[in-house]
Amino acid sequence: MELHGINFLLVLGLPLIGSPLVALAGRRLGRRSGWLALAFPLISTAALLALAGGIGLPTRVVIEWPWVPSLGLGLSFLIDGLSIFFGLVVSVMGSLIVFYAIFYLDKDEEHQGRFYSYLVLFMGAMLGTVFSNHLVLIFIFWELTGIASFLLIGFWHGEADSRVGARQALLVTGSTGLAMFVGLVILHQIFGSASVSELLSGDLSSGKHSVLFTVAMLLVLVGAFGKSAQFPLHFWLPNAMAAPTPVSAYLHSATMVKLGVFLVARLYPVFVDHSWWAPLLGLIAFTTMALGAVLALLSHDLKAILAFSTVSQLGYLIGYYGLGPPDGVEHDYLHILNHVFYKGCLFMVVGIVAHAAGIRDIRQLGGLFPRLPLLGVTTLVAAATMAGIPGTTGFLSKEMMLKEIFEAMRARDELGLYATACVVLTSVVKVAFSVRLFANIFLGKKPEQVKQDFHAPSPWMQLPPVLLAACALLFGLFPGLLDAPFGALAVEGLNRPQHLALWHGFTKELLVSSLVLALGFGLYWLGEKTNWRWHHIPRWLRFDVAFEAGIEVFSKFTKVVTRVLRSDQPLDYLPIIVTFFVLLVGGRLLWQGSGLWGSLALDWGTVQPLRTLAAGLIALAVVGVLFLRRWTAQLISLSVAGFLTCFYFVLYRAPDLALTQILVETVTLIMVLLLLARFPRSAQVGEERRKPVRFRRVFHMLLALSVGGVATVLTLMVTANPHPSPIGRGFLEHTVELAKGSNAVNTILVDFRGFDTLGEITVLVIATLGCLGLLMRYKRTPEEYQQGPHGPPGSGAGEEVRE
Amino acid sequence: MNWPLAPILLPLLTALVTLFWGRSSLPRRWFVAVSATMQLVVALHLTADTVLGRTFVLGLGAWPAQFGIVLVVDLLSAIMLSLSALITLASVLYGYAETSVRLEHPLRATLTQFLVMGINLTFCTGDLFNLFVAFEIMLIASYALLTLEADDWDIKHAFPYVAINLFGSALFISACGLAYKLFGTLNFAEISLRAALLTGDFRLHLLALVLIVVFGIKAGLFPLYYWLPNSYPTLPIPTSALFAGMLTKVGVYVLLRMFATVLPHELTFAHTLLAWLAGATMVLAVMGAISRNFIRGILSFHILSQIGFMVLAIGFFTPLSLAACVFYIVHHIVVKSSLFLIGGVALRLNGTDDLDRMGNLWKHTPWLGLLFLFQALSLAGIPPLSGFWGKYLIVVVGLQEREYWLVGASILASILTLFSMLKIWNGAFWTVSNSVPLRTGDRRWVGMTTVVAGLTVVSLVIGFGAEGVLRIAMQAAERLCDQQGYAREVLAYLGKAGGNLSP
Repeated sequence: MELHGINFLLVLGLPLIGSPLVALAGRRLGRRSGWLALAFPLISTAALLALAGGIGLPTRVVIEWPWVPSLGLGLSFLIDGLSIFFGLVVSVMGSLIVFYAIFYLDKDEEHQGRFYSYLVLFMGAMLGTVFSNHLVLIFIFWELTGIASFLLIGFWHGEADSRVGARQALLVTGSTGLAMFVGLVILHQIFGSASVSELLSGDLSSGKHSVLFTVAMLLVLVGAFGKSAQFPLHFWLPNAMAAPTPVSAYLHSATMVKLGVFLVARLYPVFVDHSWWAPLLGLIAFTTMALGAVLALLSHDLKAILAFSTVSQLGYLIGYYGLGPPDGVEHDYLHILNHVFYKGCLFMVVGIVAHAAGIRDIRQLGGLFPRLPLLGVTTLVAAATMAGIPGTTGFLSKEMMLKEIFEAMRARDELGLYATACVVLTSVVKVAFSVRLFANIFLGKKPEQVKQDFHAPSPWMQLPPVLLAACALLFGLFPGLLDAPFGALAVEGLNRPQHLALWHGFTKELLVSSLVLALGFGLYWLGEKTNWRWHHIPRWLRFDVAFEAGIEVFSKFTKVVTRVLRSDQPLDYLPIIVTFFVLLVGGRLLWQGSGLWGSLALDWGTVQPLRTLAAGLIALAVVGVLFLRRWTAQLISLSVAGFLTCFYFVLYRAPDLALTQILVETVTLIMVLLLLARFPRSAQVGEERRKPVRFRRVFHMLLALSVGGVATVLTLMVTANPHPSPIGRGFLEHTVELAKGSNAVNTILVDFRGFDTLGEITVLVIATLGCLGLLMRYKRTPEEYQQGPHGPPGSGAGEEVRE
Repeated sequence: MNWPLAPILLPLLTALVTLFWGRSSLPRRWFVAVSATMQLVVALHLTADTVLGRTFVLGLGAWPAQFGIVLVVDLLSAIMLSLSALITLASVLYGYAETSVRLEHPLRATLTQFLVMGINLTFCTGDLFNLFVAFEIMLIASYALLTLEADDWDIKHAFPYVAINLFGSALFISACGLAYKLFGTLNFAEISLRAALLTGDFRLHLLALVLIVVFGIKAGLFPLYYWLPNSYPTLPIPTSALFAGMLTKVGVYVLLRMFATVLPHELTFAHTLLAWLAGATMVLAVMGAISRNFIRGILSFHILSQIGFMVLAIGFFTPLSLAACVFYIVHHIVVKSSLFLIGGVALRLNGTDDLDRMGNLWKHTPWLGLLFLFQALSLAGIPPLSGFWGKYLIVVVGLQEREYWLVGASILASILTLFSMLKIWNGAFWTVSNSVPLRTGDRRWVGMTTVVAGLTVVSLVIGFGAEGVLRIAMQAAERLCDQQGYAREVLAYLGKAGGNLSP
């Protein structure tokens, strides 16, 4: 266990720690930082192999360190066949890619340290995701891969394409990831455990019938579809090709986009017997597969062709799991590995070609074979693998797929038929664009521009694609070699490894395969014949354009919402807030309904004429404010109401309060009058003057009345039945005894609650300082003021002027 | 035992000393910085003590708890005090880095300290009317700060701020009156005991609604938040960071205190109302953020959206969700303040924070970009940064409570938050343009970035050390809900008069 732990730290921990180190060292190392970065995937690969050997597959080992035990979340990692398989894919491909990138990036490329740092970070995140044994941990690393991918796609962030592509990728994968997160949390709640190993080995039948389980499955699949670019979310992947080619080869074909496939495989035993599983996966994934293939045929940009074919292949993989039988699938590893071989290889080849010729449009390329013979052969093998020509892993993969599809056709009626149609169509189209990819780059005449711009690539750069193509060929010719590792990596409930052989006899599959090849070549010939004139992606299939347009529209929509909510209309703020108060509290009062009147303290017998007079006068003064037009008159009317309140205090035998009130009112009135009278006219210049609207006045009047009404009712309700032993009585009784003063109001203010008074005095001090501050402000001259605001709020004259 | 007074007295004294010190000078700056550090030390000391289970109760004037005003510092208060001290310190230091001594407004330090006094008093007080006084101190100081350095064109944005908050104050004082008539006392502990007997009383429900409006205005709930989004951008950057970090969270804190500690837990209507208002707030406010095109405008609306998450957690009203709220507050205060400060550095470097006219930052100032990346992703709730944990708990509780719409709203708000953060990132950091100036020659940005780096480290520690913060948050939430215990602790304070006084 100890040893496994240390081994695993080397696998996962080292890249995560190493990423910032590479970035830091990158400043000094510059171009050489790639060699430093190369150490991490190599160490990970070695440690992973040691780990795989150490635990003795096919056992399942869980390594766990505590992290957030309060939430039951630990750094818990599940080491089994599936995770080791994906882990090896990630780390071996990582090594090849970093090696490739060292020669791919230009010498004068800036910020190479950052680039490798992102790559290493990404590798760490990927390894974390595939090894996570806790549902939430999966999500954590999952999002981290998204962030790393975002940074990598936007590596050349000077280009608008890169920025848009990066944003698209992060928005799609990030938001679908959040959906998946909710699904994972629901799974946790249904089964009471978030540990993957417990979910896989435990008895789950109790929770599987609830609606929630279906919801959880749907949400998890949304996450998987987003990450693996399934229809209709496939559009982000081709735009992610704005990234440097090593990134496209690594993230967007070999590893990150396979996370969706991984998740489907990881939770396969949990979901497979759900009745929606097969139709859902089958429909979406096979649609994606066919659509991706067609779009790949319709594209001209080398990377776009490969991107769409990746989309297609991802559909193929997910669909394969969708149609799998409940006790496990047979050849998933083969399909995945096959794709890694040929697609990783082709991406790197395309990168080299684009590098050497400076062109990525397939229509402008040709005749490169004499210049790049080794690469030509490599491409031939890889394209043959993609097309599924015998002798390559691609052939095996296709044969096995066809076999299973034919079986599924029997078991699943329409769905099987649909899948078969899609697979056959895809295979035909795939053959066509595979041929095109090879033939139109390497054969034929060499265009003028290629002749001029061509410069030979470094031979080292060609090594990784050659290796991958060699693997495709080797395992294609001797598939028996794969039996042992696949057998060891098999996971119970997911895989039923079968013996692989090159020759299966004259079967139905072989017949279909040959037919497909013939049709594919025919399609290619047709394309050449018509000069690929009909080749462009129709507008209604440009989901990425729709997405960007959607974002534009949404941004406009938010502006409309903000306008409708009156966020920039200061005069409406207070009415909205007051209305809310009236509706909420008043509405609740009315809701209570009939019992309301009884609960009020309405005893007309106690009405005293003097108090009523005072109250009436106050009301009159306030109404005056509403009807008077000049602000001076309004102000005086308002302060009349204040003075009349003193009268009320007198009636309650509180002369000191009345005195205070008179003082406050007088001082306030004088000050406000003085201030407003001296208000500079200049401030009004340029301001739009608002015409008084009758409707608004009436509305405000009603609002004021209703606030008053609500306040009155509330007051009456609480005074009807006040608390029997208020603390105030205690103050009255004990004031002499405790505070040595017979005026309870005074003793409260200066003794019992003297702290409040301290606070209020502070308020007065601050208010004075605030006024002082207002007088000290920098004032624009009238001319400056006329120029209007310099930009958003806060970016006015401010500091620049003062400096 | 007099420790609870320190967080109020220290800023008050600092404010007075700086007031009489007059002009800004280097010694005066040192004095304020030392005082701010002292406040942080005191607050951390209080937290360290309260985390062990202790609650500080101090009767002012040594009157028994029912009679006089008590200051109560329990774990939640202590956490809030620490955060307020931390943000104040950061804001002060950032201000020093940004503005030379000669140009510093002499009243800024004074008013900031007064503001801190009000904020701290809010966290410490155990009395409803004293809470009102605390709000007054805080608000009047914020009015003064809002107008202190504003430009003529911007000062009008202060008007709605003042008007709305005055309405809130008027409503608050009326609510105090209602509460006094209803309970016969203003002491939190005493109210909680007396309110428990009034559970079925309709008036209690009405009072709860009034309080929701009062504190909803302060916290910035929809549709009461209008005072905030246009006024915060007019503040000087360090002050805006302090406002963004603390002021609305004061409202959330008071909502927590009121509904968990003071009022009975059976007010389900009020809780549901809070939850739905919160749901509306987070979605509508994040839309407001997207509608803006300058960094401080976007960030200001985001404050509101995030308030939605915190209040949603209060609305769910389970022990776990209250812990989530506390966690979220801790995370949010640090992250939000640092984002405003980062925005300030970007503003300084590009000379504007209008996203259409910004750029080049990632290329030339990667450290600033890294800080922004951490804090922005944290705000969007990307794991394992600090923002994730609060959201995680909220989703968990929401699903447990079967509030699927609200969970959906929170996910939607998170996606939109991510979107608007990407808008800033693409506009200010990734865009490469020769027409955008990058004033790295002005070395002030280094000092400013260093201050933000300090805050970012704190927030990273919160994220990766989630266990520790979570335990503290859970303990705080548990004690927050323990009305009996709170009342026992507070009412046990008998002051000089001993036990022979009863109202």
